Amino acid sequence: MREFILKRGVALWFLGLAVVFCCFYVTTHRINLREHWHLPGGDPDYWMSQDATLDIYLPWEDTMAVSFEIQSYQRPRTLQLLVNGIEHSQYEISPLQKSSVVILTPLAQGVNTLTFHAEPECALSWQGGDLRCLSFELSGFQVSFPDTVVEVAEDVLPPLAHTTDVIRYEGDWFDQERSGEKTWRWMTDRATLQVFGNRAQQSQNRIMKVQVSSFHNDRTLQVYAGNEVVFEGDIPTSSTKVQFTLPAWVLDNLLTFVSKNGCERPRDVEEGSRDMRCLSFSVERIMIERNTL
Amino acid sequence: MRVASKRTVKFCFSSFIIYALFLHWTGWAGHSIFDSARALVDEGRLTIDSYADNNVDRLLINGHYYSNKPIGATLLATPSYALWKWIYTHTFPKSFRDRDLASTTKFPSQWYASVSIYDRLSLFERLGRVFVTLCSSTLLGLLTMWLVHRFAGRLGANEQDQLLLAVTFGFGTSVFYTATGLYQDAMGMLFCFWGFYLLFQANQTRRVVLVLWSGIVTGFSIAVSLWGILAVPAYLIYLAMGGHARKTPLFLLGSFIGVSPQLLYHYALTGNPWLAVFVHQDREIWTASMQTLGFKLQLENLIYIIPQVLLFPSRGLFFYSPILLLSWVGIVRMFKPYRAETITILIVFVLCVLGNASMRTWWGGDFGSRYSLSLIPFLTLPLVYVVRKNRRLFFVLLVYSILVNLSSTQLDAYARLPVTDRESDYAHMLEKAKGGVISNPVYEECLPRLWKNGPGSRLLESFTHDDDAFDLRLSRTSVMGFTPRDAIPWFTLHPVGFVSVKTRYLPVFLLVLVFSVLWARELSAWLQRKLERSR
Repeated sequence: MREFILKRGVALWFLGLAVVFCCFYVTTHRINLREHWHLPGGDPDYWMSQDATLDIYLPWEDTMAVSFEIQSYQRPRTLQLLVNGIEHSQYEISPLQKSSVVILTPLAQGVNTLTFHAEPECALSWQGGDLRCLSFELSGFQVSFPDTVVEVAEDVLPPLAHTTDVIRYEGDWFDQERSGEKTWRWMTDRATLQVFGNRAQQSQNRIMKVQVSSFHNDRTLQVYAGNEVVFEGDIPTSSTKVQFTLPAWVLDNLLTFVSKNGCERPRDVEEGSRDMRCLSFSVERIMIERNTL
Repeated sequence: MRVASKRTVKFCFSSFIIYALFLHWTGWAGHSIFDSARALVDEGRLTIDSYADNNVDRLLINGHYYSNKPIGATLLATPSYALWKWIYTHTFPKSFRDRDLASTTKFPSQWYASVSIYDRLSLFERLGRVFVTLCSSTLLGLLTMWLVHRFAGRLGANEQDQLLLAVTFGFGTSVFYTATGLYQDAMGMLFCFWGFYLLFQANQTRRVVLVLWSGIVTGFSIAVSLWGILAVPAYLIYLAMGGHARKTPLFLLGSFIGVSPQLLYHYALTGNPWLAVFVHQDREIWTASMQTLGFKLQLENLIYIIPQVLLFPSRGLFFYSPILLLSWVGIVRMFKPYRAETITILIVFVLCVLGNASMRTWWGGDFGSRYSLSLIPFLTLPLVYVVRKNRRLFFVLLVYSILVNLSSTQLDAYARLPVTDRESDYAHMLEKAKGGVISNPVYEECLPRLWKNGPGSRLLESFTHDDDAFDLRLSRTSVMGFTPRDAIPWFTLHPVGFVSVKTRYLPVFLLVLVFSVLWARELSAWLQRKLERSR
């Protein structure tokens, strides 16, 4: 072996370099920011100039939830989103605070292009030698499979825009977990959902269906819309479907899930567990449907 | 006479590759030289009227625009631009050239009516900048490195120490940042130091003609970066100390010949060879040019400014090149065997520091002490007397110095002194200097980013998008933005997605790979030694 290394030392060195290259430098990803983006200067936010584009790769055709936070530069602007060159939706974006945008859009198999068009167009900053033309600052860009956590009935979707209510988990929800086909998300004793979309406030005649289970012991779940309790019921440890009518008007589109019996740590109740999280309910699936009754 | 050993040539070539990998284009200074060379080749004239909207570093004389950089820098950049133009014309078909040259886009500046900002660049422009920077600023910077190597040998350093000092000079000082961009300072440094080397040889060999050549070279350094003028009094004293006082006229004659291109430039532009053209800064941009470009020698102010240009983190020479702190130990040790040379180095040091500190724009530059660049090869020489005796300390400081200068590859708009400060008056910056630390881009931005992302290669990162390839600009000099440069797309693989090569620490890998090829024989011998020793 030693003789082999001695004779083939340089060849082995180059082989090692090839391995290092493949392991540490070659990467795969589904989102590729393409052009008219400005480098993030030390922070994770990206600035864009005009008609910034990004590519999203999808191995199969599907409807996806695209979400991000966005803020306009210096003045209010209209953000027009184009998916594969076709106008999708538009939003008024403020320069004063970040706006959350969540869209549902069908994407084709392979490479899809998302274009961010700003109206009025970008402005030159010219500060400290900075020559960038800026329109929007983008952060937290995510493309997720909506059918794992959110399901929206087809008839609720606006016919053309495919922009509709999408649910965002905020606050004390833990990261999504997966086991085979099943996905779920744990919450502590109090967690919030936010319903987004062009028609989020026109929620008459809509019902929310939630597939939920309690951790370790049965618990009482309360769902608040503002100060109003829209649901209260006991949830067993097995998966249970509950449903309630969404109120006509929801303050900030926020729904708060509360466990009346608090939460427990798996470490305290399950032998051998090191899980320190305080858990109450797990939510598998949330659906918004038109109330046909 | 043997000019360089095979190992030295290999070392210089390796250094050239490293420099090439870290080339950058910071903007105005580069434009000013590049466009001036372009006007000379394309139009056969000195005025840059055709490219004036591209720059703020410009003069306006009798209704015509000119570069505000000394003519020597333009003359040194001109052959490489002409060569690149010839290569471009003879390589690409006319249909491609027409399409390519028309692809450059500009945006009018909102602040100055006559300034536009380049956004998308043609391949001609992008590769032209790479070629001209490599063949002028980088090449001459590396020639200075070779001269340091050679001079160190004359002072008694063995081959290993010579290489170590060359590494110190090329990678452990501000020379690294300046010579990887297109700056007149990197070019002028060579001629200024070469003048000293020739005088040293003249002293050693008693060859009178070398004094004349030294004068010519030193004079030309003034025509390249102006800072060489500070070395002239030091060289005259050196001549006198070496017993060549009678050859002073010869040296001055040489200097006059050397500086004559600059005098002719003054004459061509203003009709007066002695009137420095730099007072004709374009008033549309430099509204107070007489104030911001002049000198102000006030002792009560220098007390605050000298520490800034020597030690403080915004521009301090020893902050950006900390290995040079050991030069003081070397100077003490060098004094006995090379008294005249040591005194000359000290005079150059004093004059350079005073010159830099008395500039109204002493805070200018991009990274480190660009205005004191000519001083660096002089301060590297005394290290000959440190590298042997204090090896461990030397290595520790050298590694730190290399890290500091390598961090310049992570410099971005946010890590720099704001350009608005250039517009501020002298009093404003003096007030800041009195307050202590003005800014600390190295610790606040560059080193943390170096640790996180590794050394950044603009050249490599430019390949993240086809239309940006070979574009050396920082993100801040792009108006419409680039593709984010964290990964170079390779291909799309179904059903995985986009396959890319991460740019983070990629230059390190590439350098290891290239060096493994270049130094394969040495690597093989080293591996064998290691294995045999462990047997």
